[in-house]
Amino acid sequence: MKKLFGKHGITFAVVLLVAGAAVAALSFRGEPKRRLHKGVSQKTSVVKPAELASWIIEGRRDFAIIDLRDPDDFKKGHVREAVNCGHCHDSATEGRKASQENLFVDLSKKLVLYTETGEETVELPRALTKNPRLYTLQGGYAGWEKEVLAPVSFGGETDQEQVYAKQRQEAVRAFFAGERAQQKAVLPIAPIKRQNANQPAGAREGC
Amino acid sequence: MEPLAPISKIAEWGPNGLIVAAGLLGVGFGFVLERAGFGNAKTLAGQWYGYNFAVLRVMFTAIVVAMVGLFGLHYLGVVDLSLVYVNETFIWPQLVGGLIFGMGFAIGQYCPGTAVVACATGKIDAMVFMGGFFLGLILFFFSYDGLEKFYLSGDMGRVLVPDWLGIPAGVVVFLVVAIALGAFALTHVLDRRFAAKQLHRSPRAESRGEVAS
Amino acid sequence: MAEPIPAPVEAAPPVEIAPEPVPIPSGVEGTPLVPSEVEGTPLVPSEVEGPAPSPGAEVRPEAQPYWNSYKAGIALGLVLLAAFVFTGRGLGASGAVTRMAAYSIQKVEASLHGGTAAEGDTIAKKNTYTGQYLKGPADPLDDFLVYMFVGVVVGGFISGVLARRASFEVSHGPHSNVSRRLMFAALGGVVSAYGARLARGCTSGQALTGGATLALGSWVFMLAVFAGGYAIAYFVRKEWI
Repeated sequence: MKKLFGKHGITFAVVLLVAGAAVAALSFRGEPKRRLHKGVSQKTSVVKPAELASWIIEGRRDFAIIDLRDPDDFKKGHVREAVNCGHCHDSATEGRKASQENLFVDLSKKLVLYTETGEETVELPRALTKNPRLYTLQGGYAGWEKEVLAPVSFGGETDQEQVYAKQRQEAVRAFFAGERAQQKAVLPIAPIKRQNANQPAGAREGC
Repeated sequence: MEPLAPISKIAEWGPNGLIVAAGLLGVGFGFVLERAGFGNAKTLAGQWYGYNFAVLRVMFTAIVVAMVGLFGLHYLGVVDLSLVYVNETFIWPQLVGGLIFGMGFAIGQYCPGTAVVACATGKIDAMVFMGGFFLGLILFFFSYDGLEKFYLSGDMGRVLVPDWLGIPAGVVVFLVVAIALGAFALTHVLDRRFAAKQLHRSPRAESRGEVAS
Repeated sequence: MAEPIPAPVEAAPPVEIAPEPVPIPSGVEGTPLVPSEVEGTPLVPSEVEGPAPSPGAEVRPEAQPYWNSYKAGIALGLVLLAAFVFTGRGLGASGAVTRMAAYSIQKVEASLHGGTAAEGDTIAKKNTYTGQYLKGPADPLDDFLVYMFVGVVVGGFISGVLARRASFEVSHGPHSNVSRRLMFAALGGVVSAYGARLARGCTSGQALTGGATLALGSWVFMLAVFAGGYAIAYFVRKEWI
């Protein structure tokens, strides 16, 4: 072989084969994961589910919510008034398509983005990353479900503050579920002990 | 690691950047083509008659190098392949057009890129080839209406060979590398066979692209 | 390595780049029968044919050899890769020529009709194919491929001049002559153009670029080109061997 191809020929062939094998190996790792665009992760603030809930309840109009999950997940349940972006972050072409279809609501508003758990990295279409006021929902939709939509269990509160907190939580949950807030038992009121409750009125008092 | 490339689409150069890039890339392209001997019809003809496999070697080496580089960078996350322009597949016109083009190539011993380079270095037959090419284009324009249906047939969109075969792209890359190396080996074996025929050739044979480099 | 071949030629001209006798290219080491890498074309304008002149007959600066094919291939591959990385596109040649053809028909027609007022109504604009280049407000020549084309001309020229391969000549086989060669070149051009437009590209745009991106149609095109070429080559072999 060496006679036929020469030293350089063998090197050339080996280098190419190794490179090709490396690419093949890399391809088994799967398609490269996309990350949140660099600029965005530096600019995003985080908003907690409870805070987002209060924005919605207050009826603020200065923000828009974008759901970055699969359309099927979106149908099963989403944050109220969220817009599903579907495949808009799969590739740049999809992103451009989405903005052409005016999928994104008014982009001058604050944008709250969320994924399933808040931990995924997605690449955002350029139209979204240009927005300077990006928020990510902490905990993603899972966090939303846990904190806002989950049924509130009363009992075990040790003071009035906790009771009020839970009542607020229940009210929020009911709002999003479209129900009436259930009145739950509050702390058992300790009977007020009167000093002289069982004594005849005039016993101690002189006249 | 987020993709850095294609730079013009990610960093947003603007039109002037692309013009400069196109020009510079063209200079590199033309320079290398000429260096490879492709500005010379005899080099190109050697492919068909077995005395100079430069065309096959240069073309496949270039394809393999660029392919390994491109897909390697893609899997490393540096290049976003979805942003790279991939020729759309119109299978019937490309098949028939390829056959016709191949015939024209064997008759004229040039293809547009190499003809341009050859013109730049003064080869008159290349200029005549380009003249013919111009004429052929005009003929095509005016016969297009009849061809339109065929021209648009077999539209498969942007499809890559690995998608069509159902194999991961990296494996296809490796297979292509292996096939190319096999083809190169074959050309060397054929070189030896033809070498005997060339013993009687003139000393200046190599200088005219008549034998392999 | 008994190599009688280069000796007489190099001895003659004293002031030139005399490549060493027999730099055996990497691909063919150890096979004494395979010729060396020394290549180049004489600078004197002439028909290139027939055996070399006898030693000492003329003083010509020797042109530099062509690059080794694999080296050239690697270089070309890197240029192509750079194109993908920097612009997200590959290389191409016939697209530029098509635009230039469409543009020139338009211009010729417009001038025949006399004046720019008639430019709106030319056959070129109405033609379905060229119309796509000419209808819009954009200049058909203001296109990536056209700028690349200019670059190719410049690059080829520079390389040719630097390697002293630039000369006016017609290359053809030993059993052919200039006029036949030119006839075939013209015919080949016409046929190639048809095939190139059907396939939407030529070897640079479809085979090289499309091949590197593993586009299905491009690979089909490439294989078809080789098939078509080999099919016809037999019939025109007298032109070259």
